[in-house]
Amino acid sequence: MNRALSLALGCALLLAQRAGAQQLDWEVAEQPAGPVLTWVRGARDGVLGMLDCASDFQLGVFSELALVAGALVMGASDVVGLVDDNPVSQHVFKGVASKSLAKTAYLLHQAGGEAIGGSHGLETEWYVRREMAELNPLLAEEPTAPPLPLEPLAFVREGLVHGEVYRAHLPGSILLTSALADGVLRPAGNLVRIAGAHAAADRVESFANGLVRSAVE
Amino acid sequence: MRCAAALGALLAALAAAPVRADPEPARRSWEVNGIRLEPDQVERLASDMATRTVEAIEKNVPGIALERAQRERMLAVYRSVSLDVYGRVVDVVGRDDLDDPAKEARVRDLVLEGQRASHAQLESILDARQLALYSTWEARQVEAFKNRRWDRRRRR
Repeated sequence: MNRALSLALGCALLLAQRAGAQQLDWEVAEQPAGPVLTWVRGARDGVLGMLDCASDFQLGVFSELALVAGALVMGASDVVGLVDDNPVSQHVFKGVASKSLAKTAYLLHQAGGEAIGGSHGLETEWYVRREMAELNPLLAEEPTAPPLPLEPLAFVREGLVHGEVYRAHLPGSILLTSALADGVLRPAGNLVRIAGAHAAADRVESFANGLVRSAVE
Repeated sequence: MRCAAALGALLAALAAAPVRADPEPARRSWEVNGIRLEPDQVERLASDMATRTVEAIEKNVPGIALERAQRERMLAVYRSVSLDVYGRVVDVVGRDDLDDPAKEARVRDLVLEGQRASHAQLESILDARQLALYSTWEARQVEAFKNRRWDRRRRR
């Protein structure tokens, strides 16, 4: 997450006239090296990649649970809203209970959306995409928000059913793709990397992350 | 065992898959402030920008009525211009010999230069009626871009 945010800030430098270019302390510049050192670096990256899989998988699981919980609480909010926020009862109850549930639903949804965005390189791309759009005169007025999380208004706007919340995420899709990507494909790719086939490992990594992306976009 | 075989086949296919044909001479990566975007990400972002640009034109230029072949050619134009302009923008950001106002001015110039380049290519894609409609809208967008205060961008 920090990485993505830092990139966004880095890109914003173009536009915001603020600080000069910064080097981020977790980026290590490495000079080209001979075959032995290159293999050692690949082995190191493969081992670190395994840890990254575990890290991303737990974010995927958390995201799935939080997004589903958010949708369920939103469902409860919509049902309760029939009682406390219909055209008649809203003058008495002011939709207090349904609004409270909707806020909880939004918090769960936001946590889930941020979690998956902060893994598998997704948020990095979303932020860069926004920055790129702002440098395109023809896209100046187009919306640039990432698909997740939704805007708060999606949870509290007028209406009996807040369908946008239910359509934002297909239940199980993040868990399934994350399990396949982080539990099978990426670890296998990292083994390939440790073996020294870096280009093939990059392709496996890209394919696996694309699977997770397809569950979100 | 079957799962292992299937996984092996998938990995073998991925490993052996030829790198996608690229209109650019070399697949490029971008690095901004120490963070690297891999070639796949760069390609995807450029394609995404092109798609969204054409969609914006179809949405915001009433009556332009693009044909499918025109749309495809425009996608190629915008994709190519995006790769070129953003690549040069990334280079400018990475320069240590420019201060921020100079970088901003250079970035603006690059963007407008890219806009002119794409317009020149569209002249051979759009017919006279379409080009007139497009040019009117484009001029408005470009003027707004020139006048935009970049330090007061809208945020989510």
